[in-house]
Amino acid sequence: MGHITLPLLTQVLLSGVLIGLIYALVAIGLTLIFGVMDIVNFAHGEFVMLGMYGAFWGVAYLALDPLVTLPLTALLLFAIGVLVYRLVIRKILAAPMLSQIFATFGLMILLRGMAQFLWKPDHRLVSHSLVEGRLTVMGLQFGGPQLVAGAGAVIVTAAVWLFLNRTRLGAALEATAIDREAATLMGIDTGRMFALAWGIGATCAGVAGVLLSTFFPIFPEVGANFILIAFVVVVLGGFGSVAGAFLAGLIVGEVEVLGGFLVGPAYKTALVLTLLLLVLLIRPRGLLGKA
Amino acid sequence: MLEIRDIHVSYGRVPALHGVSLRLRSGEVVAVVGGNGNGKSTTLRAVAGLNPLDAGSILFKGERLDTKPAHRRVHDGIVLVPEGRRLFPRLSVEQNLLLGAFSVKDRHRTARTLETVFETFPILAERRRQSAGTLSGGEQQMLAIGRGLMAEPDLLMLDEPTWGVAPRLVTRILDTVREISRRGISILLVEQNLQRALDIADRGYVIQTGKIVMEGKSATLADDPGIRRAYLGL
Repeated sequence: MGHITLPLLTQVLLSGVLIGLIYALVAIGLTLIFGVMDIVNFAHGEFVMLGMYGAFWGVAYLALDPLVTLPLTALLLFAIGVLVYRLVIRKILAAPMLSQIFATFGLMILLRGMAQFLWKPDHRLVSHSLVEGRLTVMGLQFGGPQLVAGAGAVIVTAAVWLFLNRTRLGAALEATAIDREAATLMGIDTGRMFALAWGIGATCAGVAGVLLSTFFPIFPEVGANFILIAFVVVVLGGFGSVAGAFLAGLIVGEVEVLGGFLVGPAYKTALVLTLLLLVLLIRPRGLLGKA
Repeated sequence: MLEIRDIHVSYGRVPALHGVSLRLRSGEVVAVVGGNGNGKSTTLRAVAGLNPLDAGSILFKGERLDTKPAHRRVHDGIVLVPEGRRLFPRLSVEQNLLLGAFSVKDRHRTARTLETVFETFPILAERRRQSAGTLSGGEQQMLAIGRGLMAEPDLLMLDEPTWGVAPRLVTRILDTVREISRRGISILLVEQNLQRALDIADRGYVIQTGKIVMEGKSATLADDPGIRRAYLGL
């Protein structure tokens, strides 16, 4: 602990921001689905996993870089999100909350099992990518993949924010989130809005998976690493708040990286979960949640 | 324009409407009156598609309406301004109004309609950036009606438009309803206050325990001794 220098601290802080941006992107998808239809998607980490495998198979079969296949993977995840809504979620809209929890929990197990069955439980790596190597700016070192992932997360988050706040469909989603029946009376097909929320939610998680794939091992249970953090981010940011999830993603990234650096990497998850407990005790509606 | 034929609606196992029939001609203002819990709101909700029919049918402009999903009916020209207004409280007045125009694809037309609504309710123009939840009861009702007009309806259904409105604004709102009907928009109005409703309506239906018990011209109904006793306490 004796040799914490300013450049080192800055380096750690920036690493926290970069991973925080990814956490934010995963959580935005989760909070959007919850905000629009009050359903917690336990299979959200599996959308991250599918995005990662999308990137991996793009490299393995098509010899195309994850960044090149990203639009295709994003589209695929959107379709998967819509499909999940149509095949599973639509059937349990009016069901008790417990049934909804078990449905998405079951979906999580199904997707993991399918990944294990089809793609084996091995850890896989995208070994060569366009964004390999390190970049040194003013004495600070950045991993190329992390930097590109952070930038990509910012772009996608901004795009989602603009869509939600500046377009007709975004307004319709918001209206559906506030009052489904009133939205219907505006001529909004709320079923379509639900499908859209699932499509966008899965896309956010999938894109995060693609961005992660260049520096994170890929395996069927990898989603478990992100779902827990995404829940902490969503709770901290306030259920249903996209802006809150963004802010909270950065905070959780910092707690994990900076906290891990100061206290010891073994404690980083404990620190994040301590944060969750504190939020639930002090401000259960989160930073930007609606009271 | 609108023809409700012997509709039956229930909430779970509790029947709410048993055999309501009603007609509304183009350009008419028709009031449905009756005490609380007699099925007035349910009738409007059934036309809007929020409550499914157990039996009967609804025709709009000669076409079957009851087989269409609720959101499609808005595109067909039927708009319900619901009981309790159901605004989007955290959105601004203007955002609420623009959502009302969701079924209108032409932005220029929406911009023009927005101006018309602001002319009809100047207070909404003043408060356009304010969130809807912060408006007074009367202002909220104006916003709810304005939001309904944004869809450019042929038939506007108003469920208790004077509910929770300060007395000095009640006349103003009902005058506006009359004025809206003069623009060629047909109006189906539900009111607890029989006198007010019949003042602005051409015809009225009296509903009691889920059934229409009387219908006629507003003046006739207003003079009927039975109705005066039952609903006006005279």
